[in-house]
Amino acid sequence: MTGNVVLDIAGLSAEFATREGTAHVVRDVGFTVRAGEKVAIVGESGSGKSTFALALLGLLDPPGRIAAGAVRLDGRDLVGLGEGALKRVRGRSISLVFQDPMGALDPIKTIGAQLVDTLRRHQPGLSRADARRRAAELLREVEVGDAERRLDDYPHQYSGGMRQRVMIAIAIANDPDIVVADEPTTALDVTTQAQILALFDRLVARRGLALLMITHNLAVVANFCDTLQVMYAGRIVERGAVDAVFERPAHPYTEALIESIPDPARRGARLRTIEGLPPDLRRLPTGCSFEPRCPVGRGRPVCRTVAPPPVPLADRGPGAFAECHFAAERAGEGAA
Amino acid sequence: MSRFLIGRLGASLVSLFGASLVAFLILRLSPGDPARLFLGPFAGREAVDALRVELGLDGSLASQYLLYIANFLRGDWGFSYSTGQPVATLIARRFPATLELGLFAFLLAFVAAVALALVAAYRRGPTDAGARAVSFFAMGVPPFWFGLVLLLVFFEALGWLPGPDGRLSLRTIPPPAVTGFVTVDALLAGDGAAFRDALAHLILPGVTLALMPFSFLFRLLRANLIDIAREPFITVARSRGLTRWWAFVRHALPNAFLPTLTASGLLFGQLLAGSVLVERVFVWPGVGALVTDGVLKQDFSVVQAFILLSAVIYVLCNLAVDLIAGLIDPRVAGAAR
Amino acid sequence: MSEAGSIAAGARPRSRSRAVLASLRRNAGFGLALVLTVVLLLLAIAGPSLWHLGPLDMDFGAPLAAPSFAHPMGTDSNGRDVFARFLAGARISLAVGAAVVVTGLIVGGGIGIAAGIGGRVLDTVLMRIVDALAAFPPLILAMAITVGLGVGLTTAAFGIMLSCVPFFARLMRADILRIRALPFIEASVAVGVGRWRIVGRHLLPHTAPTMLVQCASVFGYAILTLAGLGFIGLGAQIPEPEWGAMITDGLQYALTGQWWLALFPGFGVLAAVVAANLLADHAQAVLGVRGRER
Repeated sequence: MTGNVVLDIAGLSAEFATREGTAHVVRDVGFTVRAGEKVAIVGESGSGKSTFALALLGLLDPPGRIAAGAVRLDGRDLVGLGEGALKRVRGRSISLVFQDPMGALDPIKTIGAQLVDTLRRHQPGLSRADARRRAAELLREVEVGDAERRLDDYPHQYSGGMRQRVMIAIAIANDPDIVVADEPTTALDVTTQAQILALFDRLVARRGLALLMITHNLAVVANFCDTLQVMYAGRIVERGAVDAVFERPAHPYTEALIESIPDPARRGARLRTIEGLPPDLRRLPTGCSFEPRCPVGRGRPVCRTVAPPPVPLADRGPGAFAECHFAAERAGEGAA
Repeated sequence: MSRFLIGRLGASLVSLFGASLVAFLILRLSPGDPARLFLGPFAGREAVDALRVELGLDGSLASQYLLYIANFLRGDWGFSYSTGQPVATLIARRFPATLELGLFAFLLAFVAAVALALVAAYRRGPTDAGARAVSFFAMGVPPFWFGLVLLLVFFEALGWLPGPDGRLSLRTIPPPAVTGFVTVDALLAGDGAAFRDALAHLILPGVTLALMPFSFLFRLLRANLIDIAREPFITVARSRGLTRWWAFVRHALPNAFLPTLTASGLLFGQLLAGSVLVERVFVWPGVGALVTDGVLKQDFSVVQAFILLSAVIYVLCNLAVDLIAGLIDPRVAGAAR
Repeated sequence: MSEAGSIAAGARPRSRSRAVLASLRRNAGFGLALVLTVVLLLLAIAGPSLWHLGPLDMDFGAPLAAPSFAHPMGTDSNGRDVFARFLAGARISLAVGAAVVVTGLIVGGGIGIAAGIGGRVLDTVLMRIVDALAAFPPLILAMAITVGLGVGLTTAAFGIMLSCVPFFARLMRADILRIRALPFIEASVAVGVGRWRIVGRHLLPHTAPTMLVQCASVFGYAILTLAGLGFIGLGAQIPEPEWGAMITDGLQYALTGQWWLALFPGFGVLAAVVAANLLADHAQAVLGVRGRER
């Protein structure tokens, strides 16, 4: 089902310069994504997810910057490339679906013009008429009805869900190897969310592309992705196959996230919330960054002073781990 | 679309009606009797009274107003007391010179403002600070004074450009008048030397007149560009394969430009007002200089005609700009459809 | 983009020294504006009484004298000291600017308030009057008034004031409508706070930032327009030491070598208008005011 490694991220760190010091928004993140794989990054707002997505495509503008690491796309490192080289990669090998379908399309250009521009930018040999035909095909592929006519409509004539379909059409226009989707369903109602997810599913299966889904919504991930990565304070604190992680989360933060999903089976039960706020990324604690909020480790000397190393959890899929001093026993606990 | 059109047209008409009332009231308020002014201090009382009747000055205020409007619409704008010529003829004769200078200045202001705003908003930092300093200077400097400074530097000190001697040097033979624009007429006549001379004469007054509209356009465009550069669709455009610069030019600029367009009716007002301030310095034979001459010679009929005329031009330009914006912006056009 | 945006909003360049530099650069315009304002105010208030020559004193022995220690800005064709006239001109310009701002704010702001809180009929009538005034390019309306009422400094000031009434009225009305729609006003109405109390206690204080910015901007506009009218010959008349009229007076001598007559008053106008616009801009940024007219 899955193929070659498409995206190989190693030791990626991104930071923002602020007046009160440097904010370490993404800290030493590394993982790989294979063709046909659906990988999720989950975290609450402020965890560094969106910055991470922008950093992947080299779209981080000052005062933000990539401090260290590599983003290898089909073996080629994108970090440090100039705009001239990046523009040939963006929208061609890697593309982005943005969270806000209202603001993500140029309001004064037709949908067709924006699709055609994307196509011809990377396929200069394509004639205008052919590009238009391809654009209509793409709209049909993302299930926009009456595609030919709707090419001449402006974004404000599309509904939110339709706009998100257009965004996806633009993202897949040049048959990229990987699509990064940053909160692609957050602004949509639940029915539309499900339709968009189903569309992604079909596209991945049909085209064999890799999908990196970034969201704050664990429920979206649960039935959809293969691999789950949980991001907290700019680090990936747990990684593993979705089912395994859901069944027995090794990191207390993951557990808290899962328990804060409304569950129809536990109707009437009080919804768990995570107390406190994510840490100040300019003044990170020396120990575990989740310690002040952690129901397991709060106040424990080891958690306060020692940053937990990744604990491999091999039985939960390739590269699975959790960064918690108690990960091994917690993972075992659930299995027993 | 048609409702939008009718609405804007109606608003413009109401504005024009109000403006004509204001202009009429000012005319009535003016000290002195137009008939007496026209005939001079030595004319007899009977002659003055006769002219008053002829001019309709003996009727009620309302009938005088109607006559005033009717005369204005007929192109009967009264006589210049100092030359005895019809004001409409004087203005019509001088209008091409003002229009040529105004269009040239508008072009300069537009190109400079778009280029500078684009670079300033794109690079920010010191480039932005420098561009803003230029715009503050352009906004604060009295144009007539700046024109003089330019003359002192580029004519008097350096001798690079012609002095204040109108549209052409005395020794240049004017090309046959076809359009009334000396530059265009020179080109039509194939007279390269006259064209260069006409262009050289346009530069200093053009730059001077361009200052105000430039600073206005620049500040508006820059602020809009900086706002729009933060919009997600700019990031998305880059994620589709445009460089940051081209995302700016292709997507931020057109979006920043639309609100500027609706506000740029003001530019024409600045050009009209500016022509009054600037033309005299360069002895430019346009309407503005005609007005300042009128003031100096206490020949206010020219000034009064110009006042209402400028309101008409100003309101029509604002209307045109609104309609164009309505046609271009799909959101406005869609909402009005 | 949410978290990146929130961090980027407060973010500035990397090191401390660069942050200091950036803050200096950000406020350099404001600093310049303050210096210019203080200097101009001092010159206008104290200058004329400290300088030993009056603006109308003639020295027939030294007409058109170049700048020297005795006459730092030279003399005009009647031997009047240009520096003394410059100081008196500062006083005139700043006084007219202040008068225009105060009266324009009262008249225009009053119209805006009445239109904003009054009924639809009052709103329509007032705004049509404002539209009629705004149908003229501002300088030309001011010209028209002086032509109608008679040439002079006072009528010019009155014309300029009328020409800026639309700026104040439209802005004030828009601001009142904006604030009126805010939830806390609705809440005040709901709990039965009286209408005039709401206007006085809630609406007006909230329009203060917008009006402050507009006042600074109009101050600059007034000084520039006064000079323009003086230059055309519709404002102050020649012996009067008004900057615009002084430039006109100097125009005929400028290209024959006596550049100082026209040059110095122009710097006065430039300094005053730039200072006012810089202050307006700074206030706009600091107070978070959205729009302004002119």
